[in-house]
Amino acid sequence: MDNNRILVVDDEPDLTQVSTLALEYHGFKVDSFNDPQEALSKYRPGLYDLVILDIKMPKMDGFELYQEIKKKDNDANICFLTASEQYYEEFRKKDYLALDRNLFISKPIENEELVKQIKKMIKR
Amino acid sequence: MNICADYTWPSVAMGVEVFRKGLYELKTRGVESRFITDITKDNIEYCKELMQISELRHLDGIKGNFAICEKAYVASATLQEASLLQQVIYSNVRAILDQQQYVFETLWNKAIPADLKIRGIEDGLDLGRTDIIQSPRMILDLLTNMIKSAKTEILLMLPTINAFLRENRIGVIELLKKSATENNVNVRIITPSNDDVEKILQDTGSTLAESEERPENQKKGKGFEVQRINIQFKETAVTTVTTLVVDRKESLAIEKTDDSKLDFIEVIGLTTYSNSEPTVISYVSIFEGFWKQGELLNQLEAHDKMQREFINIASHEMKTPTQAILGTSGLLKYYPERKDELIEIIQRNAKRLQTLIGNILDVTRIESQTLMLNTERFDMRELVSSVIEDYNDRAKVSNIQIINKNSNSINPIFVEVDRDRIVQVLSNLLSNAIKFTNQGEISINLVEKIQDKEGKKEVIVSVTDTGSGINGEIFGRLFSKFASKSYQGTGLGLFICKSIIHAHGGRIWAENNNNIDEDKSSGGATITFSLPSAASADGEN
Repeated sequence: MDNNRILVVDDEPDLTQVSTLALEYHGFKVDSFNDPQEALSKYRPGLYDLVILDIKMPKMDGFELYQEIKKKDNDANICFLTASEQYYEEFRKKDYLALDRNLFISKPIENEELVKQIKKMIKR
Repeated sequence: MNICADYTWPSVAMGVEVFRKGLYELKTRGVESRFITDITKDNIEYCKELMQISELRHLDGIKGNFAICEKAYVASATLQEASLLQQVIYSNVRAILDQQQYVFETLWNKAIPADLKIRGIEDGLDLGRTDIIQSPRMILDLLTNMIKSAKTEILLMLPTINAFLRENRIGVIELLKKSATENNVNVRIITPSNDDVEKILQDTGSTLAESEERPENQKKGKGFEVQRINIQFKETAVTTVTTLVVDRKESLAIEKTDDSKLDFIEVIGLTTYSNSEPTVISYVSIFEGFWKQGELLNQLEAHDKMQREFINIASHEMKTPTQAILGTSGLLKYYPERKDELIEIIQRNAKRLQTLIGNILDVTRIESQTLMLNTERFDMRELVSSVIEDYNDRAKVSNIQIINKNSNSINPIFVEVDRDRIVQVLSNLLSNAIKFTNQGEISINLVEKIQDKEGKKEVIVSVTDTGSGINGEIFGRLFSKFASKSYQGTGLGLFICKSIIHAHGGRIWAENNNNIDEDKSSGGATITFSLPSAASADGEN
């Protein structure tokens, strides 16, 4: 558990701060970015046990970032933490992958529940 | 005695004493009579008198005259007042009498009652003729000739996709397009639609969107518009008739025998042509009814789409600060020593939520037209100064200076408006300016101007920033809902501002500064609004 490292990308600084503090308290190492392009340029393949992406972001949305990260690191374990339910349908329509609904965590979510879901995703 | 005579006859029959007497004698002798003539505006009074003598019917454009009784038949080419007829045809042969009696009966049955025609003329209705045509070739010619003869308007209603495809195959759609572009005819088509129909419409270069974008003044007399609606209803019998109305003067209703086939001639059934006003106007009103229905349907769909978009954006905007509040309050027990910092996050997001809820309620009030204004008279300079004061601290944090260009002015500028609402507008413009300016200055200018020739004054307030300017992509719809390029915002602020200013009878507009003054291309944008001045008429402020 101590070795688990997580990347959080969300354009809202308050939200990256909350996630970072909550996850660090539960023993994760966390890197976070508010700018998706910066997150991509600094991405290091193989470093993270889980990548958590917001979807609605300026410059590059979560789906694009997902694809770009996958290009760099096909094994990346990526999930979405989003306030927009509509995007799940949109994503499914785009036929990227056979993504299951479990890859989407809905905001708002309490810290403990978030940690529980993240642990589940890392185990897969 | 049966008489069938042209439009000149009533005036001769009733205006020339010898004929008049003769006809009245028929009545006193109890002779059963029937008259047919061509009733016109000019002979209408004579016709009314003829109706006292016998039953009278009307036929359009009767040529020549004949009379027939049990014993004799007489026909003449022309009638001349009180002069002897040059030529007549006379017969008392039974077979001729029978034949001519048959002709009269046929015409009698085709004729319409005189009072109907008279009422039509007196009410200004032009009762024309209605024909049933059975020859497919004739129908095809009539259809194309009617379209070619159109001067102002063509309405075409097609009941099925195949009807559209058949019309297209005989070149009707192309012809309609030509009428619209070359002869300035206003063409409207109602048709169900599918990919094939869309492709044809695209090839002829028409879309509904295109017609909507056309300015109002160009819409009259020129246009090619298509309403894509299905006019068949499951509950009632299926509509199978194609209707064409040209210039609101002629109509053609074409039945078909088998909709599955694509050959116009092969499918064509009974067809009714009419230039009778009541019939033509009925087709027009049916067409307009469906057209309106299509428009309402489009509006409803657009409204529905906007509603869904609104819910999506609003829910996203509500969940984001809620997530911050929920997560941060949970952190308080993990990190009690960072209490102050965490509470600040909670407060910031609670405020964001509060603003959002206020905005959503305002939009709801605006859209349900229940935005109430509590107007009062006050000095606008004082309002501007107090709003600037409220924003000064926030601006300084972002290295921005707010400049009040009126700080030295002496004369008060009175307005009579809802103070809180105008504060809301100015605050919104200021916080936008701060949001889109990294550093630099924001200036607020306030002037009173003569608005029109009658000397009515208006108060103009403008907020100019040196920020990033307004993104070209959203410039055109800046004041509509959801026109936001910012990822923190619902895009409701300027929509609310516009609605508040309009409710006060003012205007609001935006400019990018480099477009105003190229020399001073400092960048940034200026948003200006106007309000009616409350200065008294004699110029006393």
